[in-house]
Amino acid sequence: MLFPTFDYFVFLPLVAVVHHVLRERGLRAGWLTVTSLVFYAAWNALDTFLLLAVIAASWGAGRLVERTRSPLTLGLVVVGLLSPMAYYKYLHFVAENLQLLIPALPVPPRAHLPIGISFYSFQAVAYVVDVHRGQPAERNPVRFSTFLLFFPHLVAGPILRASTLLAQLDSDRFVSREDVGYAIARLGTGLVKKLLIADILRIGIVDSVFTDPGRFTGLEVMIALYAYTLQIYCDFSGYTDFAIGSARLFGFRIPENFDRPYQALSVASYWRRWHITLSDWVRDYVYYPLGGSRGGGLAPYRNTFLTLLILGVWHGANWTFVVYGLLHGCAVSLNRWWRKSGPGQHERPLDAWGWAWRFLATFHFVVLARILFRSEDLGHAGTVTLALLDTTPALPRFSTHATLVLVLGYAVHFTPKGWRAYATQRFQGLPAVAWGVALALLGWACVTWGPGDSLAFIYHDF
Amino acid sequence: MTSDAAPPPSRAVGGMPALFLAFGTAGLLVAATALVPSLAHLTPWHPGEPVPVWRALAPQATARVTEDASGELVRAPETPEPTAAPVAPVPLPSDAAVPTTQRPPGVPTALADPGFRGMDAFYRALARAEAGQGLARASQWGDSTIAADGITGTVRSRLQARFGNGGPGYLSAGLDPQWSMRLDVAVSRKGEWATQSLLNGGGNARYGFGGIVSTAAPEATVSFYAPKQDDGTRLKLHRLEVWYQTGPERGTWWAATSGRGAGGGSAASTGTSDRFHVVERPDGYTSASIGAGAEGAATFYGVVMETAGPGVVWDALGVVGVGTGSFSQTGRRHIAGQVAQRKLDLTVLMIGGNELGLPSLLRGEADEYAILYARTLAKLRAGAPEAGCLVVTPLDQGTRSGGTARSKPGLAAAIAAQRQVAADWGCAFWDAQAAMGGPDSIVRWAAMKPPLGWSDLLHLSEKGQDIVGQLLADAIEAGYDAWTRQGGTTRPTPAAPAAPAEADPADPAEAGEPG
Repeated sequence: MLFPTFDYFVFLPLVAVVHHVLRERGLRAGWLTVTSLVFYAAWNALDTFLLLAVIAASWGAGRLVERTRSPLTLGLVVVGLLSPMAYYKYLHFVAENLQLLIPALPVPPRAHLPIGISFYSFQAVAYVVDVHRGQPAERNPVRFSTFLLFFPHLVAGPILRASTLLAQLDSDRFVSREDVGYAIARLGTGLVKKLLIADILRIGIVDSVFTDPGRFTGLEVMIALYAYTLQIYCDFSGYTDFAIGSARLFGFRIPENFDRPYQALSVASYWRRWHITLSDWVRDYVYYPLGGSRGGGLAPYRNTFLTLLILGVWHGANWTFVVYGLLHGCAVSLNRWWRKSGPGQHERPLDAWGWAWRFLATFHFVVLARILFRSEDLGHAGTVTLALLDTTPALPRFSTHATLVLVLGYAVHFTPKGWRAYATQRFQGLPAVAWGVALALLGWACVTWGPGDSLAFIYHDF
Repeated sequence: MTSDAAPPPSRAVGGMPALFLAFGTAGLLVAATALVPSLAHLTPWHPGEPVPVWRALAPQATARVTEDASGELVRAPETPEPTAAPVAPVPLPSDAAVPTTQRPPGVPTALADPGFRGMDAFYRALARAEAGQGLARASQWGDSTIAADGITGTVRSRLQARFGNGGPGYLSAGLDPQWSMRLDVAVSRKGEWATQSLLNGGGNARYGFGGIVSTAAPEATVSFYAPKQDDGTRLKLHRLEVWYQTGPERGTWWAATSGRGAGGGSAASTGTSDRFHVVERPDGYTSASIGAGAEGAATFYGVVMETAGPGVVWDALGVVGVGTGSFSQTGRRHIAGQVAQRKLDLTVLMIGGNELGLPSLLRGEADEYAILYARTLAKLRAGAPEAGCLVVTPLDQGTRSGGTARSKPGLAAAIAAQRQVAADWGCAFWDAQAAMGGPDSIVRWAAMKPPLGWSDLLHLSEKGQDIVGQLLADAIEAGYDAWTRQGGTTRPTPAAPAAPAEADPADPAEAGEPG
């Protein structure tokens, strides 16, 4: 069940109302677990068994790690919890490449990727590592299931820590009027981002150019890269708006995942603003254990590089993501050198020129690296890159509709952050009936100007 | 990097009434759309349809990943099989030849051409070319499907590989990615050019053979370079035609082949008229340039670049966005004169994809559209009544609604209308939607990896166009082979019915000098 659908807007308030009617904590947790399973089963009922197996394994593993406190046990548990993801996501890719070296090696068929596996596997790993670091293991399997299963974040994050949600499950709080207003504001934002920006850009500009780059001029390919950059932001941050808004309808607060990433003035800053919960995860469970910025010489650069590589490969088993991770690793390392040892170490506060070149360089690095993110393989990425060099003088052939969405989308992205907070606050102050009217009008706008039906979220493939 | 949000303090009850009020209001407004006929398109659910939420849990008809016929892993159809009433299959005449080559996921589809009455003239030209004599000329008009020159490019390559390369054929002077493309021909443009097309109008009822008319500012030029061959050299061409317009306030024009002057003169006249300048180059040329002199502007329709033969020429005359209404903008005598000059052996028409929203088609009624389509066909055939005729239907097009994607509702009626017109007018008929696999095939094509269709569910990718082009070429070749096996017998062409009267707008082309 996709978020921006009529079915979800029937499902969500029904589940929320029943949740608030139930007074007993255990019942509420049970209700959320059952409805989350229903939500997940709507994609593929068979995948639910794997999800339940991971939940059972991580719950049991948490108890075991708490008892033993053994690094060996933790290591085995982590490997075990990551093994389904390794099997479904990476085995075929690894075997296919090893076969180039060892021709006799059999290559298993490409497995169907269970939706959300990269997200719930990382959350399960974070939980057992946190337990090893001293956090108490959850005794109640239903409550633990609620943490991993809670449907707003189940399929594509934000990546939660157990402590974030379990603590909120413990409190006997109920949803407030402000929560409902905030939730509807975020759900509406998600609708606009997904259906009126991301999907329009995808259908109107991006897909056609990436499918047949040779049929477009260099200018059109560049516009498509800008469009894809905005599309993926609106697609994923729109998903996050839905997740945060949906959770708030239950009175839960889950962390933000984006902070106007394209306003970043360095690639390192970009990663602090893009998919924040994943960046936090790799920082806490990869970068710090590797040594972080401690140690002299090249160690911090190695750690940064490896972390960004893992971050890239997390997105998929494809050489494009390997190169994507390497590129970003290089950029963040270069940024570190600039700040620590290079010309940037004596830098004064930025003037307008300093701000402009940093912004343009960072933004275009991110935009051009997206070629790898969107391409089917390295060959395709090369074709798209070559298409950029075409100099045919012709006006772009994209529809006015899509072009307008592109311009307005970027304009909104570069507005001050306070504007959104102010607008949300004003919206929360409206009568509840006005919220409903706004939601209905938005739904009609999406039907009228959107693609007719929501397309799958990009991060569902990861 | 930010840390996880801290749990908020406990709060008093207060949100439930707001939750009820907000979602209740939204629900009532959405339900109200079902009561207002003009808002019915906004209703997300109608009684009788699967129940929301429950329908999301219904088992999917197919796995999400499957293998195609060639063993490639592809994403399976997003939607269950269509439930719409199936389109009646085209009855194939006894002498139709069904191609045997498999091109998954396309379906081998024969031309419906009883007695070869639609294709006979073209098959005779092909037979002459195969015997080493002359050119077989076909021109395919269409919309963005043809403007991309994917389908036509493949048909051209296939037929030229077998019957010989007759050259790139007709090229609009305004050939530009904005309007139409030819990937085999390099184009270099200098100076200011103003272009009008059938789509945007402004051409004073004279849009030329390709639906595009371009005016060059003083000293503006455009050069066309012959297609490259396998050995890297450019194809040697022997005939150049310059199609231009004379009229008031025009200057001079000129033409050159491979840098050598090939004619020119004044483009000024008191009335507007069409002119054709023909140059033979027995020693061959590989590029042609046309342009306006320094004295004033010159208006061009295009150029024809051909070899001495034998071979096939397959013109791609696509203009993005056009339909039958667009062709009504061009003057009857003007287009007849243009077509007559081209000396066609086959007229091919592939439009309709931009007209599927016509109310009559949405109601499933074919008659009204059949009249519009017949007018267009009649207009194009008037200049070459002896040429063969082939009607190609629009490709499958889809739309997303209610959680599913499927073929546009007007498509079946449009295809039925075109099938009827083809039968009435003695044209051969090729069902491109059937060749793609029938209704909803665009959904499957777009979901494949690599995609055979764009996610707009309107256009095919380059690979998808190539498959359709191969299927059409298969059908033409199979038809030709069947025609040859029967001794190349020419059947009498039945008299075409009178074209439905068209309320032609004031047609300045009629008032001008004879072109």
